[in-house]
Amino acid sequence: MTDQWTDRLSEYLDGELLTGERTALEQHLLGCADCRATLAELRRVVARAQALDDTPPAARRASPGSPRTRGDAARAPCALP
Amino acid sequence: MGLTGAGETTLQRIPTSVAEAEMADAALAASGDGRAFERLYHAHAARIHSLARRMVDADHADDLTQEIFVRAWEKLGTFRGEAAFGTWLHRLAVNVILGRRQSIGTERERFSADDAAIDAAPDRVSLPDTSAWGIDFEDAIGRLPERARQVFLLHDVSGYRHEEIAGLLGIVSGTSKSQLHHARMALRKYLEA
Repeated sequence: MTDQWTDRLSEYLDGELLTGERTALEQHLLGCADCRATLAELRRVVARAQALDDTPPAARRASPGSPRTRGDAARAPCALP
Repeated sequence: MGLTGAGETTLQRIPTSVAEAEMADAALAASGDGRAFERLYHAHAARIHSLARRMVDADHADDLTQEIFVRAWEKLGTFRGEAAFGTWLHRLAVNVILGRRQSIGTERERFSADDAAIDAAPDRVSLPDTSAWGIDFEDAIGRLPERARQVFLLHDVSGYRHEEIAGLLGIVSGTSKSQLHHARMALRKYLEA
């Protein structure tokens, strides 16, 4: 599935189309089930990206507060991570 | 370099009291208070480590995280509090990661056979069923081509604007937009049910 509007769907989703383009694309969406389906999937991708979990470093080389061995050692507060 | 976009989002997400406490810790750390810096580290390590892991790979994430916090410690004197500490740190992290990218050789490693398959599967090629690949959404992000992955992570995960991404990556914003669309289209097939 592709048409002239498919490559503009992300810009539409992000609110980056000019007013005339947005109006034309919305008109197209009314009659194009493929583009509506693709747009819905793109929304899900964005939502999934925003819901990604952050995970901390798995293993520390040294506990915070110990002397650091690299960089500006004189000022360094701890070995990280 | 301006600190907007992702920074504004970060500021809005965290309570003022937290932002103020981090400002205070950043000032203390800049004067040499290691405990204040530890508090900042513990508050942001997961986000920074995840950024490094996704932008580069898991093998280098620990080293990059350490390098980022070392750099942050060294540069704390330049933090003026114009944006949240987390915003400043994130921007610094992106610059460190992008600076280290070539020496790590990530670009070469990314273009494996699997990556090429995802690269060739934006919107006009059918991808195999997700279950057949046995990879989840996070894995799929890691298998995107280098540029598309960077743009996707900076825009959709971290909240940077295309103009900022263009500046960071040395591309034009139109390229950033097209790479983002390419990444999103490829990732559709890897959404969990």
